Amino acid sequence: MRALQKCFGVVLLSVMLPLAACTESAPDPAEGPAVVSTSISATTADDCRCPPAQAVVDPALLAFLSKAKSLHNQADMADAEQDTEAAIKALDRLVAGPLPAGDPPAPEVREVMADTLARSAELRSRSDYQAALKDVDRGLSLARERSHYRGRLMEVLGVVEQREFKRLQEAGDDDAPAAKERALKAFEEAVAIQDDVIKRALSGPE
Amino acid sequence: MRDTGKPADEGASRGRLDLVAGAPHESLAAIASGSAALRAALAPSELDAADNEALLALALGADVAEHDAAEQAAAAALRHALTGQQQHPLADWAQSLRCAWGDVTASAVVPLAEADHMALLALALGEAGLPQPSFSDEEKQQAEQLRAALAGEGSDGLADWAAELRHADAPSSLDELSHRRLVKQALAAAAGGMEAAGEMDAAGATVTSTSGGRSMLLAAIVAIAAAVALFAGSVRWLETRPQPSASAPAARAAGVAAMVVSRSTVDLFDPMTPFPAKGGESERIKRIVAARSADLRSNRFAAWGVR
Repeated sequence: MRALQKCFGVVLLSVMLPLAACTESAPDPAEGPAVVSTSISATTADDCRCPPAQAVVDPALLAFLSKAKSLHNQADMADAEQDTEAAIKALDRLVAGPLPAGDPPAPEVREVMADTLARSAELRSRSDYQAALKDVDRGLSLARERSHYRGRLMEVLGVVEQREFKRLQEAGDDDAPAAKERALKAFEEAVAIQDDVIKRALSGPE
Repeated sequence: MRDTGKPADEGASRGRLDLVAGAPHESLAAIASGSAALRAALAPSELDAADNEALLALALGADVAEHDAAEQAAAAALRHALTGQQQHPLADWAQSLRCAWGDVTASAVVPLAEADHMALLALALGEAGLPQPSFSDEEKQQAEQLRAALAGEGSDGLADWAAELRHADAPSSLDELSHRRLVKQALAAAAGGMEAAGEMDAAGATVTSTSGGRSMLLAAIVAIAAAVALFAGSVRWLETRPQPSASAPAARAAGVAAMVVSRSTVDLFDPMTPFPAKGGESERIKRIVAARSADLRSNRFAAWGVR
């Protein structure tokens, strides 16, 4: 009986001691993007002189990016089979789906969304001019900086307007010249944006 | 030798008349008596008195060969005493000689007389070693006490030794309880000092001690418990991040400050090469995911305080 009690005590001690060291609770990483201050003196609120918080790269962002990669791969397969509708459907799952928390969204999210909307606009322009314009407008609202993403959106806008021009011209519509004008304007803007990006790259970091 | 044609054993039982055949008639009697004498020497029969006397005369001389009537009478008397027919002063001595010779029967054994015993001791040990015929009262009391102790009445210092001597000379059968006790002690000693936890079974064999088995079981339980605790602790450590502790705020802040922030992906692409209007989206996305995956890993290590 004594030996059994001794054995039970040893087992209990062996289990409880290590587990006692692991009882600390930790924040749930799924609660949203981890926001952190770049200041190392953020111990109390009174003496905190922290710059505006910046979002860090967190698992939610990676999850969104991985989702975008998968859906674009699906769109590639559909495009290879000349199935425009399936490709648009795959891209809509990304642009219409949930975004990582943050207002405004993280730069990566905005740029990937802009790139996706540009692709979907090009696909929709083959059959639906207005829907394509919507995607371009939404993309341009996300990619506000003069970057290759915005330049591509402007180029896609020109492609959309160019196809509309061809349709209207074939239809003998009087709005054809306007469409052509808008297309040319979009292309000019795209070139200007690319030039700005190249100039910025050649001039080096400010 | 002439071949008579007869088997040899037939000639052995009677005289080899063939040997004497042909001998002169007057020599046959002499030859026959010689043969008889030879047979008697080879297989002597009981000697009669006359022949005995004759032989003694030949051996000892004629002067001692003859016995007078007195000697003969004394010899007869001694002979009768040895057979128990009459008394004789040398009867006991003669009987002792006969006993020493070994030619006696159980019924003829006569216990050695005390006097004869003392005489023999005197011859063997000399007068100095000869035990005193009388003992003191103390010696008699000690002897009586030893006798009583050997009989189980009381105790004596020499009783155990005397009993061991007696058992060594004529050991008695061991009782069952004593047998079990001795076997148990021997096996316990042979176990090397280990405490005999078992008890004897009906056949007398000792049950094997379980202390070694208990130690192995205890060690196995402790090892399993430690492995379970280690695994549980590892799972929790991998799933959670440690809380900021009051003892290392600087280290925690430094780790947070080193985290990679979310930023534009334009730096991942060649600024001299604009994006095409159509195609290339999947490749760009792959590059962005790879870069940000590395950033996430860096941020995790920074959050854990690993530099």
